[in-house]
Amino acid sequence: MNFILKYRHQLIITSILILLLCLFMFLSPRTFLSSGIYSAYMSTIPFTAVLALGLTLVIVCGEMDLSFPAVMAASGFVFSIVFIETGSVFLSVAAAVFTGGLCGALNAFLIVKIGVPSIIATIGTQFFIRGLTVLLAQGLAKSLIGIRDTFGYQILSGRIADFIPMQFVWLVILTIVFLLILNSHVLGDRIRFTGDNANAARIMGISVNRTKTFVFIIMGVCSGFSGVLVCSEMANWWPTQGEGFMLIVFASVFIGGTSVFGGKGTIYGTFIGSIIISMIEAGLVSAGAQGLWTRFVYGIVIITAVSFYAKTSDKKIGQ
Amino acid sequence: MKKIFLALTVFILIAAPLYAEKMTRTGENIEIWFDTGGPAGGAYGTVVYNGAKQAGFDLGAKIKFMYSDWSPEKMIENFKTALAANPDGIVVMGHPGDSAYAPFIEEAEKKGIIVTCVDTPLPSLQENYLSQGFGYIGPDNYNQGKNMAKESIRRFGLKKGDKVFVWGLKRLQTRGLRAKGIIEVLEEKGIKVDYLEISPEIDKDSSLGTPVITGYVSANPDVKAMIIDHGALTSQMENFLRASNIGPDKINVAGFSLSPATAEAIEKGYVDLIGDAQPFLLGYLSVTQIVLTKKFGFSGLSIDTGSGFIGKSEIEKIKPLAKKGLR
Amino acid sequence: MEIIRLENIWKSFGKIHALEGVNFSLKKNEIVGLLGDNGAGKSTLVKIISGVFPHDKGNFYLNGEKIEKFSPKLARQNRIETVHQDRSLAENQAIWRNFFMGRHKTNFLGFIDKKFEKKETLKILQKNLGLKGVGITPDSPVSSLSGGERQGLSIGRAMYFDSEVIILDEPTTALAQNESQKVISFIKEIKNQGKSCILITHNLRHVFEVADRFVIVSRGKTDTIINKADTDLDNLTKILIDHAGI
Repeated sequence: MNFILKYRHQLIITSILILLLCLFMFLSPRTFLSSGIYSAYMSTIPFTAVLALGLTLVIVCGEMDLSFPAVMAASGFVFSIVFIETGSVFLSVAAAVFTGGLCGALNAFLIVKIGVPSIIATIGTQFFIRGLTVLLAQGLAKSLIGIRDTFGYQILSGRIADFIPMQFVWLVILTIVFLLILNSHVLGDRIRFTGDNANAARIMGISVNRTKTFVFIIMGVCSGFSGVLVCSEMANWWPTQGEGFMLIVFASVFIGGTSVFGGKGTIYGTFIGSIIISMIEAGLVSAGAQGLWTRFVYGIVIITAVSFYAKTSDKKIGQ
Repeated sequence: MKKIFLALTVFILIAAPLYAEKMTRTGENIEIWFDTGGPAGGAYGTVVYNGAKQAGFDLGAKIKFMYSDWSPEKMIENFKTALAANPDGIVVMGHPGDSAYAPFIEEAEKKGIIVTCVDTPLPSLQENYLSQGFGYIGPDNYNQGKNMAKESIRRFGLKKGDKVFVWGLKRLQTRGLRAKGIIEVLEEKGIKVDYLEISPEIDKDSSLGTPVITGYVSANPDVKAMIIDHGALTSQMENFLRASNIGPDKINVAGFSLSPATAEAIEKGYVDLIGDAQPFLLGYLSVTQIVLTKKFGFSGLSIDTGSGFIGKSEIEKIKPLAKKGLR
Repeated sequence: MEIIRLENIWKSFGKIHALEGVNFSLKKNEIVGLLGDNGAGKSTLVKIISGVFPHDKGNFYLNGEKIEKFSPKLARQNRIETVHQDRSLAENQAIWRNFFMGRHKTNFLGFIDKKFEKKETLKILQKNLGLKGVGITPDSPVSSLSGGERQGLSIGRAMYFDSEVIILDEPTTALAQNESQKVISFIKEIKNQGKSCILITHNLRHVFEVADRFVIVSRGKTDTIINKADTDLDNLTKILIDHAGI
């Protein structure tokens, strides 16, 4: 009983996933009972899921980040030009991830040092970073012909046993790492307390500023990595990279059960949430529903999930 | 003898039809996944959708529709999903470009799925898979652009030194050729071109375009013509000009793609010339392509739908069709 | 032995003189009640001791050594810990996390020894707070504890980490009667454990129960210091009213 109570959020979200899966299997057996669709899912889910993992830490820390689509595009751009110049995937990845971290540091500077509220600061950096990127790229896309022949490509986007895309393996690794950090590491502890009661955290000797800086840089790194994965899979970079991701990433985090008030969060929930959101559209189309239904169903799933969480939150249980 | 002959005749008359080849609809039992390109409910995509739907009905084929917000990544995502469903055919748009699509289309062709392209071509892939039914239905972007410029010069009486505003999508690989064609022809004639790139936000949501037009026109009151390289934005030009306090027939406006709003605007004089890619055909003929190739093994067909020009004189006839989303 | 000694301490904020030549001392195993009206300077005095503010003039001695530079971090290192009503615990976090906040037992990679910390927390819950099987576990959020229990947890935490001086800032102000009594017993435990305490409060009855000495802060000065043995509750009340009246 204690287990169910303690992990009720995780159980709820897992049940929703299983329910949806069964529903889609029933409506379109031909698609959902064969392996192809799952391989397709695994190749796309990581793009938004990696972002959602980083965002979870930011939100648990009591902050917000709206700049990640732009940071993704900027990192993807750097990845592309470094690859076109050097042909080295390894160097390109390093440069891209570094760019992401740099953007994260910019956010941290504005928020921690200057004191701009994070929502506002990151809206600003979103325009700034995207604008700068598009300017440098002269608005043109970049083709990464030849990347598919490299060994690096196999590490980033190759297929294991013709079925499992490498980006999914990376996602799983990241999920485990973040899970351990948030739940069992001092860093995760500091993030929780900073988000829950920054004053108490300060009094108890936690450097709130350093914690917030850390969290924004990590988010930048995640955005950079996601940009790398997209560029590798598509063998292309477009100036619009990351644009449609904003709401999907937020939806993934919140239906996963992380509280918008900070202090509490679940990496597992975000992971499952990402899968659910990404599944819905393809499931609907396969079932023959018009594409016009997608947003509507997103809305239903989100409202249902967050209502459940609100009803079963600690305060309500009376613990 | 006569009786036997009579009985035989009756028998043949009755039996023959039963043994004769029954005509069935060509597309029966064929499933096609169709990416309409834009956002769900977008003006241009809806006409494409209507064409495809009609073809599906006429041929008896089942069509499943996808939407991609004009995002190349989304188009590839959608393609992967379609691939997993193992349909008979997939219709794509060429925005992502040959190299991005290559491995996925290759996989599809290996599985025996027929792929064909509309709206923006994929030249290298089309060449490779022509015999497997890979065709192209749509405007030739570059020519369409050049023709639009020529037509504008003719109809608007543009001369050397005149200022013309061009709002386009140069950044997209193939789609950008249309803007390129327009600018080339205009500059060749010594016309001063003010080019502005359509931002991704405005590309997706044309209601955001008002300040751009207002800003430009107030700063450049001497502009002779505006060429809008975007269907949804063209349809909004009446609203944009009204908001900028500019009456009809004050500025020459040319654009692309018909829609009920655009038809109205032409009638009222806010828009003067339309290049029509005839999106209904994109939907209709691409579905037909796949069905014919599946049934009879025909190769890919290239059909240039971009030669339509519509102005005030032609609008009467076309308007009712635009209202129904058929043109 | 004196743990803390403040001699002729002055502290100003711009034109406002918060402390004007304050003398204060705290002995080992002593509970001192810091009394006085709002704005008299109690809070400033205590913040100097806990390292939040530096003093402008005067001498500050800690265990006989003169303090020149001080900070909250250094204060904690010198085993001076402050307990606030609302700023010592994070309500939504588990009790065990709150208990070890900022002082986790970790391995070389930084991973927390959860098993150890939860076990210790359980001991404190059972021993100090007397919670035996009431449905509250180390994993329960702090919000599941009553106000008095939370104070007890904070005090217990300070003692667990071997603080010498525990500063309590208005510990019973927002609590109901029975909860306040719990806190009083926790404070008495501080004395039993051989530690010292500075108690800031408005509630004379509460402070009279636990303190050994009363220091009245009035308009930035601490002229009035009374031992409990030399007075009673009525007398103390009268003195305080007099001070407020001047």
